[in-house]
Amino acid sequence: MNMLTSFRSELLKSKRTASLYVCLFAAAIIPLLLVFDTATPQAIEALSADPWNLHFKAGIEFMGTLILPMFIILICTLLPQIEYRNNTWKQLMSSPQPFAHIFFSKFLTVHLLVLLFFTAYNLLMLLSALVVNYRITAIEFFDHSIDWHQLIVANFRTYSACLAIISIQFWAGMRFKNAVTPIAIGFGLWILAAVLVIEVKWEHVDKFPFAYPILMIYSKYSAVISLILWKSIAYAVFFSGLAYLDFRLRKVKAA
Amino acid sequence: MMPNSAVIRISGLHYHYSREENILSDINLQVEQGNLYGFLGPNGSGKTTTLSLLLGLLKKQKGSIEIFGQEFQANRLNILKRTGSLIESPSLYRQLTARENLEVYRSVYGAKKERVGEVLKLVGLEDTGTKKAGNFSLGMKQRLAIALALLHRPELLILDEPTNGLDPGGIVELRELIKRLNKDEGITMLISSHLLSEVERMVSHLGIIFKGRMLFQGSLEELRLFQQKQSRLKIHSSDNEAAMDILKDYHPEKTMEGLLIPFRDYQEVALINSLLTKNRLGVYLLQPQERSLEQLFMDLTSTHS
Repeated sequence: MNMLTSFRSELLKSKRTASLYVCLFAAAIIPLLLVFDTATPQAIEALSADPWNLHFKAGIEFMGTLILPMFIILICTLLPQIEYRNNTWKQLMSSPQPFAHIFFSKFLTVHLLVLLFFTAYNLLMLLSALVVNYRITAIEFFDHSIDWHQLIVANFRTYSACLAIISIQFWAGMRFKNAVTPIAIGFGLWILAAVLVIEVKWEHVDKFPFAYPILMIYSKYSAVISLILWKSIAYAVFFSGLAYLDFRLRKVKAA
Repeated sequence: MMPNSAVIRISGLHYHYSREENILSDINLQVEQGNLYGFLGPNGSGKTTTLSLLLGLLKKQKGSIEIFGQEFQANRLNILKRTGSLIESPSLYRQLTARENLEVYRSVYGAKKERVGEVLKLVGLEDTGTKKAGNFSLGMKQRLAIALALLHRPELLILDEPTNGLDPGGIVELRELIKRLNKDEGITMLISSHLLSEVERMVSHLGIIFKGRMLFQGSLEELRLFQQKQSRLKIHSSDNEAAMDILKDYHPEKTMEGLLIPFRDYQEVALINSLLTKNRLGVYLLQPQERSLEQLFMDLTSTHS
């Protein structure tokens, strides 16, 4: 029994669930908004200088701070809910698979969906740039080039900054039968992070994982981005380990 | 595998969720190869907990569980590869078709692609096409769950209350399927139920659990013998005191209306009658009180409550 078999089984059961639709819908929000954001002369002028890179920069800032955390909260809840809603945990746990394979194949599926979100988002951003180029002739996208390195780094940073959130939310999604609880926890912590960064300006906000995607766009933290990303990875490892331990030690309720 | 070897052997199993509440106390259960074993007990008696421990859904606290002669915890994967199960309600992905539901587990169990069609045919669901499992009737869902349990040709099938919620037609259909699988495919089965009438028509062996303790374990024949031993003859005569004396070898019991005597068969009833009449006693009432298996089950479980 290898991990790939368990992973394949996970992918098969997510067929026709809301996960894929949520992924595509979430990925389309920012590209769609940016098509209409270029309506004012000021926006057109600002974008004309370096259209591709400014378009992608504006997109990833909104995506990383607003859409991606919400998408993670939803997807980490929806995926374990497949088992809760269908009452299939007992069947799954009594199948001949190591518990680690069951747990980590679900965890990998979440990451796969996040990566799918990134792919769809970037493709839709390209498409949205083409639409802007067609609609507003003053912006000459094809007279400029894309800084691919900058684009890849920005995507990598955004993904890494969310690793801790993925692990925490995945734990909550696996832990609670009621879908409202992990969503409430996620949104609560996300709003708290925004308040701590924007309103309170808490000096230790770099220790709060839900704040990391927001810190990525703050110039104040640009010098310590690498450190923040390492913290995100460390938190992700810690909370994934904790979530696995909790999963292993939990009793499957029997009447 | 050796004939008549124990497929399941549970000894001295205890389990508690909290220190104050013992869910299982000293459970000893043995299922031999080829048995169709009925695990009987009222709701909340500890059946599902026992089955959950058998499948590793709960961690054993005290006692031992051996399946196929192997200790469960140390051989979990090997044992589960040879075991099919259905715990409580059918566990199916509602958004998937019957075939897709089986496909989810096919590779996990290492079954070949053609086996999916075979088990669907075996449970009569080969023509469900693109219909989603969520739109199946409960009977169809139950049959699909059994198909899932049969996917890897298990040697042991553990079914928890498989007839729960089924209509009479569905119950008969499922009962026939279970009997056929046991007889034709030689699958050893452990089936739990809270209704004796439901399992006595298909099982060869029975275990009765109540409040976490085993009250009876043996073959259906042994239970019937036990049932006979529990049968009483109600007697009312012209002189009940004298009748007590005449029938003292039968260990009579005095009641308000007369006496009660254990009896084996109707020949014994005739013999008792002739003994009384030979001693010139008028026999006003001679009423055999036989207990059905259902009553016996009720008695067994109520006397221990």
